[in-house]
Amino acid sequence: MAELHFSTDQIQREMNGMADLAEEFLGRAHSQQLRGAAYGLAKALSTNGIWQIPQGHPLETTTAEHKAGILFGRLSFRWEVKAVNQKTFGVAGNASTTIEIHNLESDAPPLSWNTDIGGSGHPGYRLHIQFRSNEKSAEIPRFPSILLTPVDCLDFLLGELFQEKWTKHQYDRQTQTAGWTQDVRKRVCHLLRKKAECAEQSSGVTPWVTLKRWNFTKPRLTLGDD
Amino acid sequence: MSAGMEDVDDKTKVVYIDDNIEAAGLFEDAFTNFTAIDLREPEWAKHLEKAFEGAELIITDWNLDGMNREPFLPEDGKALNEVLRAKSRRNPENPLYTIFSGRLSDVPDLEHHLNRPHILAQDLDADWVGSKDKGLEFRHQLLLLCRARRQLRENPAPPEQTADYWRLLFGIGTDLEWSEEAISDVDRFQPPVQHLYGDGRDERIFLRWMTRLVSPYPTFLLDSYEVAIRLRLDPREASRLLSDEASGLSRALVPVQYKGILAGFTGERWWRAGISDWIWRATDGNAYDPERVREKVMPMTDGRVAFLEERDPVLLRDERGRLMEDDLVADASQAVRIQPDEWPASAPWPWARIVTILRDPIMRAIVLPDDQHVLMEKS
Repeated sequence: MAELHFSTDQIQREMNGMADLAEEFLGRAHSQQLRGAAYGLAKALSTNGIWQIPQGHPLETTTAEHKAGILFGRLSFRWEVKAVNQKTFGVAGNASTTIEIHNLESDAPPLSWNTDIGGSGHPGYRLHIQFRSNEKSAEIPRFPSILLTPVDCLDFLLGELFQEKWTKHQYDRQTQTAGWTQDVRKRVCHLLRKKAECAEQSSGVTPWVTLKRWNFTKPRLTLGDD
Repeated sequence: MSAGMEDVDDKTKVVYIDDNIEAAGLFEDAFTNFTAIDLREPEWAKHLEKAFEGAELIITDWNLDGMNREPFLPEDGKALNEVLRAKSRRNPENPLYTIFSGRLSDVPDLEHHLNRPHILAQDLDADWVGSKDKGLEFRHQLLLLCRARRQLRENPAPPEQTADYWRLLFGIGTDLEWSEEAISDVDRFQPPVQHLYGDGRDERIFLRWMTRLVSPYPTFLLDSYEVAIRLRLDPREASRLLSDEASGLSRALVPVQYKGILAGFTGERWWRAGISDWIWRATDGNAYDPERVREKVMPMTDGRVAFLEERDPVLLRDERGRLMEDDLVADASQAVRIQPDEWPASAPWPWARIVTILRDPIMRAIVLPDDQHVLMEKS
């Protein structure tokens, strides 16, 4: 299996950068929790290979007023990782980020989905989003995704909950974030280029099916510095 | 900056101490309750003791070579100020102690405090310092400090309503869209609110916070260079334009200009939250689109300012946090963030060019841990 590799330093920098950037939207304790998770990556690589913010102690956002009610989000993740070398780590198994959106004015169960890097033997797109329900989650459908890391997912969650406020806040803090956001930009652009390359290689089937079968080998996808 | 009617302080009792009191005239027309102590006179200590009673502002020379030298007399202005402070530690007037000298470059460790008056003030245990070759500027600053202290004394902080108090003190109108953001910004920089009410209140703590931690750094207030980088304009040229009140850019930014306590202390400042909101509105929510920013901002410059082509422009600073005047701007991909010793942790970390850092082991040592790996990649 072609592993997906990431630069350890970049992922930690991105997480610390997001912790600073999102502090107003997470509160100080959860911002610190995110920083702790950045540190936790190094710990995971040197111990059991489980990098996580556990579902029992998720990150929690502040509330946002919407037509549907007063909403807030929760994010947890569990990535199975292993060190490739001193600078790089790889996804060694499941890598799943879980998001929930709760409505303080409703008794309905929260909206919830996973953003996963699926295993090669699993059905559907390797990089996918999958809705969860209170029942045992079905294996399908798996929606194709370009969100990868927990920070990508948090960025997405805050963008949805807070809309213009989050975008404006990011602009406002541009002189603080310009370093790590460049790394994210490189990674996202690289992934999109590889997806486009993969779609262009489709032959005999639709590009969707080609993308669905893409196992990060043709074209080869690497995301770290290796 | 001559002392017009609006620049006269007839309330503050001022004592000026120097071994050459020629420069005292500079302050005499600004402060009407003014006493100059000539350290060359044999009876100076007796005069000083009397003048010091109830004094609220002490202006002391740094270099006291002209004073009659006797054992255990203060060596310099810092020591003399300390003698006065010790003499009256419970002085309810809480005098402001300042240093005014033509030889500030003689203060040890010049490189450390060069062009950083707030650091020099800290080193000299002074509330502010001024150079005799910039006497008018110093006088203006003293007038502002005394006025600010009066304002704080006349309006003690109500501990339960700090947000309203900041609005009053910093001149933040409730009608401004960005006022809540501005208040949050102020709170984030930890104003020393506990020193502003109660029996033990000491307004000097607040003034030192303003002059040492807020004004010199990009905080909730920004100087013209920091404003320029956010508008993607050449900082030096934009700064010149912003110093011209009649320019289109200056006029456009008047609503977000800082007008609160100590405004104009070390040049003009603008609200960080206000600048962001202004550019956001001007570009219809497309502030991150350089072309939209260019379309809106460039007409205000009459073609006198270059637009920055860097994708993510950042201001470059040296290991002390001073602006690199000969190399001001880089794209963020060519820079990393550094942690100069005195830089306040609440302010965004400054940037330094990677090639500069690779040549300088001291700068290398202060690169933010999160950015160290970028250096490794480039070295």
